[in-house]
Amino acid sequence: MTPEAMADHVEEQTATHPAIDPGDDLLITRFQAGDEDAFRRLLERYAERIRNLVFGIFHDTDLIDDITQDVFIKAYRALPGFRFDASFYTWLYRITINHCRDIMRRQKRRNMLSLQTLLENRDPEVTAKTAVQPQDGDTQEWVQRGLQKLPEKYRIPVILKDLEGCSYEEMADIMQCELGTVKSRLSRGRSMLRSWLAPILEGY
Amino acid sequence: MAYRNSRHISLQLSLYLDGRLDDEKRREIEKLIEDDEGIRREFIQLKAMQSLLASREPLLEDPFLAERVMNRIRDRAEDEDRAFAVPRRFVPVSATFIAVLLIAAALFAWLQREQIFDYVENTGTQMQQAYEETILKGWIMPLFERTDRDQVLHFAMFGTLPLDTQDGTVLRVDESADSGYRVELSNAPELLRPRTSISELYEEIQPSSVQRRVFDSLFLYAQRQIESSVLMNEEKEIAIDPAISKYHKVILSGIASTLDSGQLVRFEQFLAQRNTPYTFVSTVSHRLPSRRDKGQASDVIAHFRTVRMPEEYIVLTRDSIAQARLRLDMDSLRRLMHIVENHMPRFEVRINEIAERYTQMQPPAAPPAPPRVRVIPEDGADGRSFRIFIQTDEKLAREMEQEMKQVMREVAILRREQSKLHHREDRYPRPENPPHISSHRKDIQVFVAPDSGIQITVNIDSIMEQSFHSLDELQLFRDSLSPAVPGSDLRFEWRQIVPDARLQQIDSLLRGSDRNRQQLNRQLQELREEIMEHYRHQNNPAKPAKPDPAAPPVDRDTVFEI
Repeated sequence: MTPEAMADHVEEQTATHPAIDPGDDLLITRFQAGDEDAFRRLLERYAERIRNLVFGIFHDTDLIDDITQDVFIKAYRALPGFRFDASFYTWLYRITINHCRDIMRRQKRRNMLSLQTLLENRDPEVTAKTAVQPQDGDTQEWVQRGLQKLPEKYRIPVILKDLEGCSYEEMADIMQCELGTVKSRLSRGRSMLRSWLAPILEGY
Repeated sequence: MAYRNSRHISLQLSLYLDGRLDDEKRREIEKLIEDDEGIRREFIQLKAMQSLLASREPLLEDPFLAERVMNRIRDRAEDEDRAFAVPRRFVPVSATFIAVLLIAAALFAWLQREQIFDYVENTGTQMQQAYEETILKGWIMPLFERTDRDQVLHFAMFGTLPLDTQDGTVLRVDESADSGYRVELSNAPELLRPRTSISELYEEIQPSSVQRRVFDSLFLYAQRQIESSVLMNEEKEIAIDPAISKYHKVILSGIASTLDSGQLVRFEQFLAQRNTPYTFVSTVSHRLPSRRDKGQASDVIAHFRTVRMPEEYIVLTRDSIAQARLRLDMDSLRRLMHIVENHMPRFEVRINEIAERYTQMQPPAAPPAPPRVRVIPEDGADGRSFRIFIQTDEKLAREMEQEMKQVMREVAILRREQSKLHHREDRYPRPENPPHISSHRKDIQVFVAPDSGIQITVNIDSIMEQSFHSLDELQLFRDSLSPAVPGSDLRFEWRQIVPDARLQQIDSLLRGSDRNRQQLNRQLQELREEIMEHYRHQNNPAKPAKPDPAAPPVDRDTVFEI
């Protein structure tokens, strides 16, 4: 069935059963047949999930908006070539993860200089005094900080599994690596995060 | 080997947690968990950690995201055209030119820094007060926090933000596509313009309810942009986002784009009557969409929302100027404000409890005059306040002192809670004596005088001030949007009237000979020394104890001023 014929079929179905929310594949087919509004529906369906995924990775509200927009623009450009080998959301997550990795690499290369860094560097005694302990009420903040401490290759599997609820197979697909690698990285990431959260988890 | 075993067990525990072990391995690990306390604890902690991660609250929904993405996609071709407007062979030249402009702007800001620091040193704004009173030690905070809507309109029209209303000092930004940007501090007479209000604008253009909602959103977003564009830390160092020089035009453009042709004419008159330095010319005025055009509002807001959050700032310190990349979480700063405000009422309650208790402790046969406790409400210039006089004997004074120690402990708890967010308290020593606490809004001051007098000052209006919530307004605006968004054909040309002489002056110094450069360096060195000398002098003030002249002449009394 050609994309145009598929789109007609979808149109008929939707007209007959307006309450049915078309699935991702049908929307993609519509989009590939030239229906821009289908992409908008995909966008509305997944925008918040992608925003939260990006927030989990960067924990930076200033970055979320730009990164999320960039992800969907990349998806828009690549969607005509989508071959239905994987589910749309796995594919979209893969784009997101790859884009976030690119940004992290750029950030590493860039000389990040903040005002606070300047101040701290000017006062060497400060460094020794910055060891902090979590207090009541900021557990979530502490968890987020712990996630940010993890190296990228461990942070992403922890986020995909424990925040996004992906399966191991989906994670392997998104991260484009073997299942065994997913398992070991996830385990390692969890162990590292557990060490960071030790002051909070002591009571358990 | 133990390390390998430990890793292996961690891996097995992780897989067990996710239900990924076969029956045999599952039984093995379950036995290990049962038999080995260390492994059991690790498993329990892994489960707890997983729960913590799963309980993360999602971000607040962004109702405009889809709209912005679709707009960016639509504008993609146009953006790409613009990206290659400069032939590739000129890219290095352009980059150099931009760098020179940036340096020019930075140097200009450097030359203006003395005025900025003087302002920060000498004026009594809320932010300045908060820093002086230590509660915000170690934090970067916005200098223009909660700019009101009238100020935003004024900023849109004249590019100025008020720093000191008494002497008319303003922060002025300006931008020209040809010559870069500039940020300056000035109280030049031509900048002292009468304040313009939103109500005057509305009276002139008579906006519809939908247009008003669009303006609400524009002003809301402008307030946020301004808030994050000029920052100050407790060492009086300033970070300015150079992009602030564009925002005022964006706001004005947003207003203009929302108007129909008749309103547009009135708006132009409104600007002309107030002698604004800007005007605009619509190139397609005969095709201006009507106010019923469904795509218009969302086009405007989409354009406005594409203004990026600032990243690169020009940072002015006491002894240097630099372009720096700051990654600030404005939401965290706002949360911090919220926490401070939410904790303040606890002190009010506590203080009221103390006062009430002493009221109840009055013996029935207390002498009728003067009363032991007198409560006098006052409406002062700084807001609503209460003054309470408590006259008591020596025993009660001692008890009261204990109560005050309890209050002070609560103050200490508050400070710890504040410092938790940024974990920076250790960097800054606490003030020793007298203990002196203040919120960033107005003040809560607890002062224990050497002669056992106790004074508490609380500004109730500032405590009760509510923090800013934007979601409802955003939601309201979203409701007014239509689903279909046709492309807008509005184009505006800006005609800048203000001459750019000062920037040219700096530019000529930069482009001048080595002799000019040496002269510039000498000037900078002299200014730096002056600043350092001024700073040293400011850091060693002699502050004599200041008795309260309004205190009633009572013997061995304890005075509360609330």
